[in-house]
Amino acid sequence: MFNDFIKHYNIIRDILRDCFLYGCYSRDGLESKRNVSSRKVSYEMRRIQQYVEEKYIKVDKDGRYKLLNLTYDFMRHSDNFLVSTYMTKSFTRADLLTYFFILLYIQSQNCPCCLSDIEDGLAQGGYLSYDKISSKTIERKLSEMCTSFGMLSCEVVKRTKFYSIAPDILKTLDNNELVELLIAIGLFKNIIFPVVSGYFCEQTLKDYMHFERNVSGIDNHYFNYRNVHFHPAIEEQVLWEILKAIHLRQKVKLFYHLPKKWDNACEQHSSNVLIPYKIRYDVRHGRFYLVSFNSNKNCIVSRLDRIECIEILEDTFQREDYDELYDKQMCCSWSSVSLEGRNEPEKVKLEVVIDEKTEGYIVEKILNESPNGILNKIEDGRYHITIEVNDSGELIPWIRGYAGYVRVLESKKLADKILDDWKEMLSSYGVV
Amino acid sequence: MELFSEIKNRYFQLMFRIINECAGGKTKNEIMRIIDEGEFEQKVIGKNQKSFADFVLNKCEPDENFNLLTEKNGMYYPSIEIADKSKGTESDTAKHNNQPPLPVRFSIIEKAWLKALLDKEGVKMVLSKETYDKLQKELADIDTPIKDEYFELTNTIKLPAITDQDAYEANFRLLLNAIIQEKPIRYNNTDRNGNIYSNRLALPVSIEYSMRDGRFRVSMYLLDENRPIMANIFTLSDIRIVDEEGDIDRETAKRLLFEQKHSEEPIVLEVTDKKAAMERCFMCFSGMERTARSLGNNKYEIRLNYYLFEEENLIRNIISLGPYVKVISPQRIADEIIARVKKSISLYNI
Repeated sequence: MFNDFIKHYNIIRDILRDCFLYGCYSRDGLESKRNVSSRKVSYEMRRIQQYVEEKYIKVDKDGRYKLLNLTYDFMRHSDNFLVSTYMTKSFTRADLLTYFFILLYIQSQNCPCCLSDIEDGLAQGGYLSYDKISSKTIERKLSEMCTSFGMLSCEVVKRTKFYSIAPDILKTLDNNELVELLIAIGLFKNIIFPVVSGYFCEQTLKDYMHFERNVSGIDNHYFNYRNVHFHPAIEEQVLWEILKAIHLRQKVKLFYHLPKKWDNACEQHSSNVLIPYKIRYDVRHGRFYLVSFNSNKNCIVSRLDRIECIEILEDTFQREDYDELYDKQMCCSWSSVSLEGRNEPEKVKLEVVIDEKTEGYIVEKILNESPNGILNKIEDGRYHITIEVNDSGELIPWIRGYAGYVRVLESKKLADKILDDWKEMLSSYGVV
Repeated sequence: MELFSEIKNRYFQLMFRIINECAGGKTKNEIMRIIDEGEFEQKVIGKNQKSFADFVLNKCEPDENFNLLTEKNGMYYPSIEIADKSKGTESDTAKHNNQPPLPVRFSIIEKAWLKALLDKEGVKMVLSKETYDKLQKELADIDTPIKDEYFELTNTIKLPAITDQDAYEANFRLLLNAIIQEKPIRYNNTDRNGNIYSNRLALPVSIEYSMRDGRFRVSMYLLDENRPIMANIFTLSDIRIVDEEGDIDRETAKRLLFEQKHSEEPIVLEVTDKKAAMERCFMCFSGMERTARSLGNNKYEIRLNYYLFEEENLIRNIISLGPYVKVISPQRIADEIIARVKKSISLYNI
């Protein structure tokens, strides 16, 4: 009933990601980079501006172009502002009216009600008329409110369904215990995926305290976070669907959304049937991956930001059948590269050179950051660390981070690559 | 249930709040205020060009109005009120009559998340045993798809285990209480070099969680020396909340932290978008206030505002991004990077 909302989250997902992550694109810039129509970009950018709190949106000018930038400061802002983009699903007038009238009616009766009770009660009060909203619509909404939303519970007595308000799981908690729970949610809402549901939980609890217990104004902003990215929230609709499939042991088909430069038609590419096994989350970059297996037990790793949607199939699998396979494929992966196509992991040997008196913490840090690293002290100030990894390419950014302390001893290929990078860096700074 | 659901739409939530707020009757102006606070800054307009407030307050055509509220003597009430006909005892009736017009319940997905919360390491530092047990009992039948076994975090830091877990948890609870009560603490601390600091006075400001190492640390304002500090919770000992009055409250301490530790000059980077350098760059620095613009020729400029205590991390992150990310200014940081890269090359020449 309002044009401002969207039917599918995917409508804004790509543009939100480009805007939020990059922020350097004007409408035309994004059009040429991503090859989407400038009308669509401009339309969706306007939506995003409407959905996100103004304080997080920076608007810059680059010549005649307007640049939108969603940005935050991890010390000052501990609430993920992208969550509000999930509060935008479109609804019809019938959706709104049936939902609220049903809840109002059942709550007012304080006893279980069957469909005809509800229909008659609402018709008699003149709230809903049969010619506008059919009996089927009410029945569908009742079923949705039980099985999908969980606001109602349903009991069948002599083949008639009786609906009542879902049990109150907080009834045994006193007000102080509710405050404790609010603080716990305040802490973990940014840590447990999908974080969007943590934020929803927090709002429901605040509403519960306010309306059911008359307790308001409790603050729970006692925490801040480091290395907690906000942008992965954009992928949580897909994440939630995958989690359901993993949990129900149901196979899936993935539909990838590829940039147009790889695909002229910009169509969705579907995968073969896959067994979804595990979500890997790269904490450093804030990126989700799905590790799955195909019918030949080949390991397929997919970035969630490249998955448009998933189809959960009826066909099921036994999770235990893949435990060993996952360990073999991913135990030496630093982030997302599986062992697929290789016989065994690569061996990487690093030499760490430090001032033994003042820089011992460097060795400690390196060891803490390398999951299976083995340390060997050669002499004071000189250590060797051996690491097994599926693909040494995954280590390159990490090794670079220890510039000035680390030299690659094995493999020669990796050492050459890093040395070339160093030389290229110097030349980019104009140092020869 | 879908994560993206209409019942979580901001206007659905707003409607819910308005109905419950109207339990005791609200004037038009009071409702308008609730709508003003709850709706988008750019208001939604229906297909009939009417505002959300028009629908709620029944100001449209008769068959367009929501009719979820009804007006009596200038006050608006929920159109269906709690019927005074509870079948139970007197106390049941009173309880029933005190209920809000719309019940507040967690959705299925929220219950699944709460169940996952109870499994989380560290939750028992915040919830008392009684609260934890009650929730565990209420959520016993919930089958949640949010399980640790379905996730693996990578690029993490594995720190040595904390030896005295009980002391650590007691410290955590005490510090959290001090923050909630906005009271200073006195404590002893031992730093990594074994230096002991006794009976220090500080105002705890917040507890910080790092997702990379899974550790909690405490951000405090050291009242003895008028400066912000960050401390490991497990190295503190003999912590006690004290009644000593300080000149600084939590909000001021936060402000001072932001002001004293924020760099005046941003770091300006030039990124050449090769090998996904730009994506990696933006992802690494996503939590920093920044602006960005295109320089043409596949090059982009990013300006990062940063905290001084993050400088070393920032330098390491910039170097780790490789040759396609270059510091334009400040020159001091560019020089530091050049020096480290030169030293790296020299290691290969031995």
